[in-house]
Amino acid sequence: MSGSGLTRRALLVAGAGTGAALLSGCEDDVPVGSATANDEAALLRDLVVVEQAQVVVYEAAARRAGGAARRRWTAQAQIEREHLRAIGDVLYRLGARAPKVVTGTPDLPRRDSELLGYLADLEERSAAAWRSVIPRVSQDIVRIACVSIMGVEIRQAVWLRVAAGQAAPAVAPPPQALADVLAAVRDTARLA
Amino acid sequence: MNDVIGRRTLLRTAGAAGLAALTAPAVARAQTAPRGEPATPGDRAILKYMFDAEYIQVALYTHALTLELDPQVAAFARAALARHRVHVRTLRAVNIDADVVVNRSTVFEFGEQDQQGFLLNAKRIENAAAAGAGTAVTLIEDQQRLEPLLVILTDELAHAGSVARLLGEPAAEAGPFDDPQPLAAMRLILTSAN
Repeated sequence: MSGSGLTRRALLVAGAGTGAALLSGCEDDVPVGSATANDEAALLRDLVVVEQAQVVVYEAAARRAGGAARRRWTAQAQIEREHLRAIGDVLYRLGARAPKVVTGTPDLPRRDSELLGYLADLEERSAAAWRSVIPRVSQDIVRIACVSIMGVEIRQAVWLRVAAGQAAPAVAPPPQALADVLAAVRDTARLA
Repeated sequence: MNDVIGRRTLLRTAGAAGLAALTAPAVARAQTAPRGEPATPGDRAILKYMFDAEYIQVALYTHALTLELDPQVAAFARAALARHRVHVRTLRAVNIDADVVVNRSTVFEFGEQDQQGFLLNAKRIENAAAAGAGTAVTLIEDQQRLEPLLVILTDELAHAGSVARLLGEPAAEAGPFDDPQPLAAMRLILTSAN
């Protein structure tokens, strides 16, 4: 869509485009190298850690599982990798680089019922991390990415909570501070 | 150039003068309006959409509780109805300075008469409400109104996820992204769902 002159804001207002167009290919006036861009890139780099932790955990869960569970956790890991790719695209537009890929050795719960709760906790922390960043960013492309990925994390957390036997929730997971989330996910995924 | 195209497209597709203000520069979002100062036309359009979405959802769950539902679905419907009433109160508080005139005269008529019909309609409405709330959070200019809208957005997402789960949909059904969507398109979905 390069050269079309359409911005994400215009797409949202006019209804001229949806979906992936919002996160890729459109033009935005991003002030590369500005203090704002650098600050927002730093927040996104923190969120990369959160998404990497999820990839590490879901890959470990897939390796341990079989059949439908393996396919489910493999699909979940792929979703988190898609988030990492999108964050990398946004960081590039801000003139920043994504942090290096990290590995981890998570200690997953042995029982399936406990694993579902463990994964739901992780998804809720991820959603909280994205939520905490939204009021702190002003670039359209950054805020759209935050809203878009936070939505998936909340839906996944709900799915896991219900799968673990809890009631379908009518209230969103509670907010958490980004620093607390980062500490918790690093510990959960035992990131290198 | 960008702004010109956006406004032309808007006028062609939406025809609402108030929405045109949503193309204001992003930098305006960072400026917090002093208390008592009227909301921008764009913020008023956002709040109007949010009110409409909440009233439709209150009506949806009120109707649902007249149907014969499984206990877990009924429990969710009661909890969601209570939460949407909280959202309406929240929006009224947010709207003190905005002077938004809400469309309250609409009569909602939901045709579904069983649990499956309710859940399918709820899926459509909650997904549209969440996508619209995502746009509201993305475009709102007054930072003081952002946090209340975030609370509503995250609840809408939880509701959408719960309804999908109650319908038995797989986890990855929604895909890797939950993009905000144009308010005009979401309003059409909401108003055609009853």
